[in-house]
Amino acid sequence: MAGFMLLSSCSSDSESGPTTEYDRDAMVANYVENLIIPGYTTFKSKTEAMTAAVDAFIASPSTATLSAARSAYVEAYTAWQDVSAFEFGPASDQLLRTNLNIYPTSASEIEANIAAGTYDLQAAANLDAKGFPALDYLLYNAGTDAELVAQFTTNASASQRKQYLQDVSNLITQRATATFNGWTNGYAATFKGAKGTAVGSAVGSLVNELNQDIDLTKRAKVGFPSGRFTSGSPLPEKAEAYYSKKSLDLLKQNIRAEKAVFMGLTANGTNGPGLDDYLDHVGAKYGDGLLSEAIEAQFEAALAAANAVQGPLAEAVVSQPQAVTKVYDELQKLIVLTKTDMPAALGVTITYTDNDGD
Amino acid sequence: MLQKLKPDLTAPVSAAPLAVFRVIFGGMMLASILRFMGKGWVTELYVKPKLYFPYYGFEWVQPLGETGMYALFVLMALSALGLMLGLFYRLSALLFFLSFTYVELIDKTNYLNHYYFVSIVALLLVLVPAHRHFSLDVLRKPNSWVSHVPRWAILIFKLQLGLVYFYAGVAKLNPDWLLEAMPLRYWLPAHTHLPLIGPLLDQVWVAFLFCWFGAFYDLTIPFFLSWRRSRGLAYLTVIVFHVLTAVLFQIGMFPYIMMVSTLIFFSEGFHEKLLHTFRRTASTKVPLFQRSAETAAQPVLLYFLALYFLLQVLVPWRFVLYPGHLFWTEQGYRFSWRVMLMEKTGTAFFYVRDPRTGQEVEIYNRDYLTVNQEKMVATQPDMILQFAHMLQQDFATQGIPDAQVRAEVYVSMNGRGSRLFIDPTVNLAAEKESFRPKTWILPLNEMSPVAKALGLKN
Repeated sequence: MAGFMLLSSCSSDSESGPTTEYDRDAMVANYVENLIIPGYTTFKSKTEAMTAAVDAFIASPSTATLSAARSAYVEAYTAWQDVSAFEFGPASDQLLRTNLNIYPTSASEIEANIAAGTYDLQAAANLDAKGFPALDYLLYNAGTDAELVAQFTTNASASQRKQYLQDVSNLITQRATATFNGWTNGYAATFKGAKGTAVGSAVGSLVNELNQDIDLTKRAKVGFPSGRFTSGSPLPEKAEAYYSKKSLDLLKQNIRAEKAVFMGLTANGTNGPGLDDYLDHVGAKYGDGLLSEAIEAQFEAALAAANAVQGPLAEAVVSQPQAVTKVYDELQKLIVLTKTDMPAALGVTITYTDNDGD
Repeated sequence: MLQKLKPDLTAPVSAAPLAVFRVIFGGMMLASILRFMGKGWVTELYVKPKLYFPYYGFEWVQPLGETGMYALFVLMALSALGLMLGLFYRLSALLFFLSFTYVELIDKTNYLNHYYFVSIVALLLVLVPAHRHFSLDVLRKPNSWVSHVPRWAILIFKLQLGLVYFYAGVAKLNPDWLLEAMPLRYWLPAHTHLPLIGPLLDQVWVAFLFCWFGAFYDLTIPFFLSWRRSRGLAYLTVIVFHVLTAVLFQIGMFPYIMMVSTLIFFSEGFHEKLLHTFRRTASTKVPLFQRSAETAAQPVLLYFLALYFLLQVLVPWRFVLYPGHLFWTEQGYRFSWRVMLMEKTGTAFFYVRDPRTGQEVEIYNRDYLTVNQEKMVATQPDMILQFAHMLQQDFATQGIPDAQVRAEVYVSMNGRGSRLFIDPTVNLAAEKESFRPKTWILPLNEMSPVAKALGLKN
């Protein structure tokens, strides 16, 4: 038996298999120190800048302060795309995805809240009346800048509208700050200490939430406005950032961020130890090549497809359905790889319940 | 043949091993049920899901609602307690068998070989006089006490345990396990943080060692446990093996159940000593004379058991009646002691088409399924089919009758890159469930390039 074992281990060593030591702790540390904490640091400061700009706009509404508030909002929303894949630990406690980015936003609920003057933005009923999508509506829903400024100056409910804008903006910053504080006040160590690949482990959380995020990219960012889950015909108003027409930029930023998570790539471009290296370590293959390379190539294909779309996504779903479908299909191929092949190769589980290996 | 064996099978042997087995098994079951309830799994698995996946022919088995499910689990716990104590034994054993099996039949998502094992051991326990020795029933009815039971009453449990191990070993005799060390090669490196053995788990040769030792262990352990001279060492191996599996894999109570169940292979003397120790602490006395249990239904029972074990031996081989790779198609996979053999992961996209308008929408699986159900549906053809039928029904209630359902499913199995699992053009809603081969499962062709369905839409 020993001889046979030697034989088989030799034969498979030559084709693949873990040959070198892989330091999973170093990989998790890279994620914490170089991606997650810097990501939330940026996100927190961008939301603070956004709140400051919104406050300045409220203090003296003008096209100039509006423009400053808008660009601060876009920067914060963009920074959100970089961290949306990290919905575990403090972010999960804050339910960031749910509290910050439920779209399409409900214009009628927002207007009803403003008209009423009283509302509970923590209530489940208001999930689609707050967060970035609500800001998007509040800052962009008029045809011209002057008309929008007028909503905050001459309009009968201008003061309530100011208050609502400020409340929505503040809540985003509060959630961002609470998440950042969670990571810097102890969760980083907890996360690094969550060994193994089961549910709740660092590796398990990274893989499962990255997949959740890619699924949202495909389903919500591209699928909703394409009408794939509803009528089959385009529904432009379901696009993320519909009013500001920033949907395509946010989509691309999100795909780049997801790729960075997969690669362990830091904001300054350093390629640290990541899930791709871990896949190489366990010898995960796809076809004739490495699984990690197949996934990286698929991220690129998805980005290329997104780059080929012209103009705001809400318009593209109507005017260039084929280009949008291409983005959708590339994201679907990506999900197959990241949700099927990757967790299998890393032994990542998705539930707490007992199993006997399928 | 049975006639020839009959004197051997019915010869009186000490009732102690059977009594110990009853106490241990009942106790383990009680602990398992309390653990299951304590983890909130009754609600999570049998109350919260919107849909359930019953077995073919058992579609009438439905969850009973929150109150009903908890009542059923309490009944199950009480009957396990009855088993352990030997109180109202036959009723307890029957109620335990029925309640446990009912729960398992509700949703095949939760299928585990060890749940199946529990169900059939419970059925066997209904048939034996395990309550006529060291039980509360004896205290209630002293006349029912026996010192001896017919040999078959103990033999059936050894045989059943032996079959579980042996078939688990036979199942390991496949190229993935023996030549590729799959799936252990993927699973072990996840545990490199463990003390002592951790660093070793990153080594390919260790995965091979585990695979080969695991197969050898499963195939031989029933025999080594049966042979008096090897029993001590064999049992030590049982402990090491199952503790290791408990540490490395998420398999719940199974290792512990096996560790204590295999005690039945030990001698009469061992079990009598064990009971003697308990009696001394409780300072109870037993009669000195010998009395054997007599079972009026014995001849019928023996024929029933012969048939039962014939089925047990044959059922794991039913897969040969189906074409294709067993692990891939899973036709004839369950109820065959195939444990820890596959890392099979899938992603399934379902599309529903209104035949009147030709419009097709994609389904967000989580609108219907739990995380676990989604995972199981994505790799098991019979569940794909069931889900397709459920989708058609749901659309019918939404005013879209006769909707067509197709699925693009990608599956990765034991290190093979993900590939198309079923024919993405087939209208699954029109396919019927049966024991016949499912022709829409695509063959697992090792050599062909990875099949892709994208672009096939509409």
